[in-house]
Amino acid sequence: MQRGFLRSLIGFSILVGFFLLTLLNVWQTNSAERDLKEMLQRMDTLEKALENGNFASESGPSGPSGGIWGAAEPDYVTTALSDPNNQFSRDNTNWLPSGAKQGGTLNLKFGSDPKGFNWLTENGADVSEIQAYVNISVGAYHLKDVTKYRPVLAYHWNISDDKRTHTIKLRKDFYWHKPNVNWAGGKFDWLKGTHQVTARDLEFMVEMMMNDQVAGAAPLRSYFDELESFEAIDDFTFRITFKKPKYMQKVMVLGLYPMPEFLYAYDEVGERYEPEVIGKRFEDHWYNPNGIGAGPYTFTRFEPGVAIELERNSKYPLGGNAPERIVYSILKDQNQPPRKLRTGELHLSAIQPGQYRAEVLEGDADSPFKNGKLNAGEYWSYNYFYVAWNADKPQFSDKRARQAMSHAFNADLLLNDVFLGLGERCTGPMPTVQPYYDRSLDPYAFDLEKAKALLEEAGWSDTDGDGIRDKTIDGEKVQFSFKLVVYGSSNEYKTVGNIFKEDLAKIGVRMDVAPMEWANLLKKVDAREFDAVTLAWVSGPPVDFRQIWHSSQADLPKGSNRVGFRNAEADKIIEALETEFDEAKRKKLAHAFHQLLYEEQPYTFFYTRKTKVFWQQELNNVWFQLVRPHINPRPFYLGG
Amino acid sequence: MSQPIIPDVNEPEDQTFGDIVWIQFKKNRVAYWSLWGLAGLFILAIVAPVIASGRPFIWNAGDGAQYPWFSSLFDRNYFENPVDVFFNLLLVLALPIVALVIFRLKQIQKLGLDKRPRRAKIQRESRFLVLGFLVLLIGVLATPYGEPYTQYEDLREARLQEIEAGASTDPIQAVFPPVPYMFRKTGFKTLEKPSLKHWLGVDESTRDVAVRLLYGTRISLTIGVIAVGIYVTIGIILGSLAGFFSGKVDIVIQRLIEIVMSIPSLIIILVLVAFLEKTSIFHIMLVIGLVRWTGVARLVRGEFYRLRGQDFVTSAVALGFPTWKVIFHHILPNAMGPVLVAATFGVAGAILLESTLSFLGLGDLSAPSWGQTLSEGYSSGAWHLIIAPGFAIFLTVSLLNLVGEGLRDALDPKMRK
Repeated sequence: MQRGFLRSLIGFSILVGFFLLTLLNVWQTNSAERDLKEMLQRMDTLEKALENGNFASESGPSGPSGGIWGAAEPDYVTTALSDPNNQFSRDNTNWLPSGAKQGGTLNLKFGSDPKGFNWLTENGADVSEIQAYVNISVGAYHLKDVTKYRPVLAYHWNISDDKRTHTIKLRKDFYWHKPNVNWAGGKFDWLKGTHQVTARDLEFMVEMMMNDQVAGAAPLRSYFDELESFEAIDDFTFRITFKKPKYMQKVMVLGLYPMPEFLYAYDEVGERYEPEVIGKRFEDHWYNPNGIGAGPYTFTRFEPGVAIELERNSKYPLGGNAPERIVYSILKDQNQPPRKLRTGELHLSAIQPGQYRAEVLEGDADSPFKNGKLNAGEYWSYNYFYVAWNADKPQFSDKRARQAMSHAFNADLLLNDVFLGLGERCTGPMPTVQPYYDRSLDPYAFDLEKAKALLEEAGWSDTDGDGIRDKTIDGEKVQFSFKLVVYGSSNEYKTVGNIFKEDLAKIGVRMDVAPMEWANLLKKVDAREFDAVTLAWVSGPPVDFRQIWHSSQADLPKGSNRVGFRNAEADKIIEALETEFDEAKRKKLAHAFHQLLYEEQPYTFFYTRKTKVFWQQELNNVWFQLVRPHINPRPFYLGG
Repeated sequence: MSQPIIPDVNEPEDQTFGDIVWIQFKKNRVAYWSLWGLAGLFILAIVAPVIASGRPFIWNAGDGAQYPWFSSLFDRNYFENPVDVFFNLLLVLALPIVALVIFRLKQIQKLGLDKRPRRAKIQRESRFLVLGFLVLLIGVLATPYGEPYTQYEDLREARLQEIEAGASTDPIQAVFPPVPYMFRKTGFKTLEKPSLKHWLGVDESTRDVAVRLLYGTRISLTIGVIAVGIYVTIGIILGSLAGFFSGKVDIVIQRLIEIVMSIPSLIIILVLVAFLEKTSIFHIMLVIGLVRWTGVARLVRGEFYRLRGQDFVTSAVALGFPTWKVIFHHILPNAMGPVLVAATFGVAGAILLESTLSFLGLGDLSAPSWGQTLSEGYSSGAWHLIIAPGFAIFLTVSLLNLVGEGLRDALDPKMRK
């Protein structure tokens, strides 16, 4: 008994001893790790400081200084802006109020995992948002007036009298960011040093854009099919000439941006690519997982599925960027942003209609979305939603059948109940916010009787009594039944399908809703393997109908005229619009086009969406621009 | 049927293995009542059109009586999904079949035949019934019948308004089912909360949730039964071959099982759905069936290993029965116990998997599946779209699991009470 007790006592104390030792061990490791981390951090900052020092000393005393208010405007810019031949004019909109606070981290959201950040080959709307902060373009629209242009990289833009030649003069105080590579080991030493943004970089961008090997630039390339020549005359002058003058060329030149030749023309060890392969190499360049630019923010980190981080470029000569860092959390689940807004993890985010219903329309009174803890706003954008009818299918080749579809589409109900009134009915191929939009046309009314009459008129009637209309075409009986392709991951579009299906059934048309995931849907639509599809177009302020409506695009593989719309009159208007520079005449032409498409109904035009945005109160100076990216965080500042 | 169980002195001599299992099963009250619950769900699925349908039983608009409800049962414009046609056929044939079965039973009893031949006879006759039913079903599906999609309720309303306005005098005489609309009928107020008119509210596509859940029972049960039927068949065949022949056959089949098991089924389904232009729920059943048979095959193989050396097998072989007869008539019936249990749990699994797919937005939109409603609830944040289908899934899966558990205990000689 005694012995047993002693034994267990010893055993117990050994156990306690072990436990204490373990604790001690854990504590020691922990503190050692902490020390190590601290040291690493210190070394990191030291390294950074050294590198920055290098940069500063190399660029010399006259090099860029930037800061939140930007560098002083060089005299040549001031002089150039008073030149009446300059397409650029000074934008006097107050960008950042004088009391704006500097610093802080701005937390935003990113809706998908980008494949890369090569601006030329990645065309997603999300990536273009990052591009707007990291890189710069030749110029931009005025903040509140899309008919005027302000200078960014360029300061002088001259268009020759025959409107074919554009001559652009670049500022001399833009520098490329330091590439985001692992500098340790000296592997990337060949990238060191300062690199000024020159006309040569602009030339390189156009070269790559026009290079057929760069498949990702194909959409952009199609706008430059009239390109005659382009060259960098000297380091800071760039000239681009077109064969025929067209209105859209102005906008395209304005949107050109430099791509750093010192980086993209070289392989990982600093060997220049051979001219025959450079396009292919550029398309999947080793640097593509990172982004580079000369804009207000430096691309510092991309962790797939987690975050994208940008850091303020203190040497950006135009200034106007207050937050020190911008962190984009990658949130693929659409339900995440409202939750993160509630917890304060996001500073600002747009929310989906479904969330708008749950949080605002039906939310509790003390929900931060309603009690003023979050600020609310909205922006309109250049978009329109539609249901497209494939005119190459027998069902939709007749315009009366398409008109019947539009009459059977209960757009008002869908817009008000399903899309919560967050938009405006649209009647033609332009967003309702487009200045040329013809407001004299009334939307097609929901009228099943009229739809029936139109179908009868077009020769579709139920001859065999099976409840579905049919028509004999070339001796073959065709049933009026079709599939509507919708985006499967969004319930709103499935709802559109479900409700439309029931209304069509009432007029003797059978429709199946085929939900598809995005990649598959785009493949089907590009291959024209669809009867009908509901999608949206997003555009910029200038009207350009060629891509979507010109008959020459109807037979192009992967072309945007997916519905096979071929109309001689429409072609004539499109061509006239392209070369017309007079605003009043352009407006007239656009109205004529609008009326023509209203009559033809190649699409059932649905609505133009506005987006609700919520942001934390600590975020100041929030406003949105009409052009993409709408949520432009540069003028925002935190606190104060 | 042979009896591989230890004979109990108290057991009457003509009790078969099935009788014993049934008696044991009945002793587990929870499992027993769960079985009744499932039967209730099944009946609910069959009689759904009697409870809710937009087609009136009788309709007289002044031009003679019509019976749209009856013709609608096989109308492919109204019931687009073959699952619905199947259940409607069951509904139509339920009365005659039940009557026939009772009549035959009585007849047999009157003849005073002894138990065994009676059993065999019932088995044969039920086989004929099922076969006949399937032939009829294929016939109905092969001759698509459609009629105009008339909105009877709207017509009646319109006439009532006309009468009020004095334009017409005689109202339409019509008898509707208790709930006078279909699961696909749109036009109610979007996302309306539960009320007296809509017990479980309205979904985002302006349809009544209660009716959708009712018809969803059909979808869930069919998916469960057919998918499991497919994989149990595959599993039994491969499993018995592997177990009986062992050696090389066994090695090949075992490796095949391992290969199939290493592929995650959800991912196969997602990939397959991406290829199909329009997913029908039959595709989903087929895929579930094709990826989940491995468990059953292993169970059967194990049972065969156990039974292969027993005396009744040896004697069957010695009597010169062909191999297929030994496998499928002698060994297999004795190896079925564990398979039945696995199948019951499998039905629950398949129902959950279908809900998952619908939830991910890849289901069949013409089928009012529970997962779809759940998914709408998730994205729109409407609680009434989450609770009701969630509860329906929970109830069905629980009932199936309880029955499976009861069956497992009843089949286990060691658990016998």
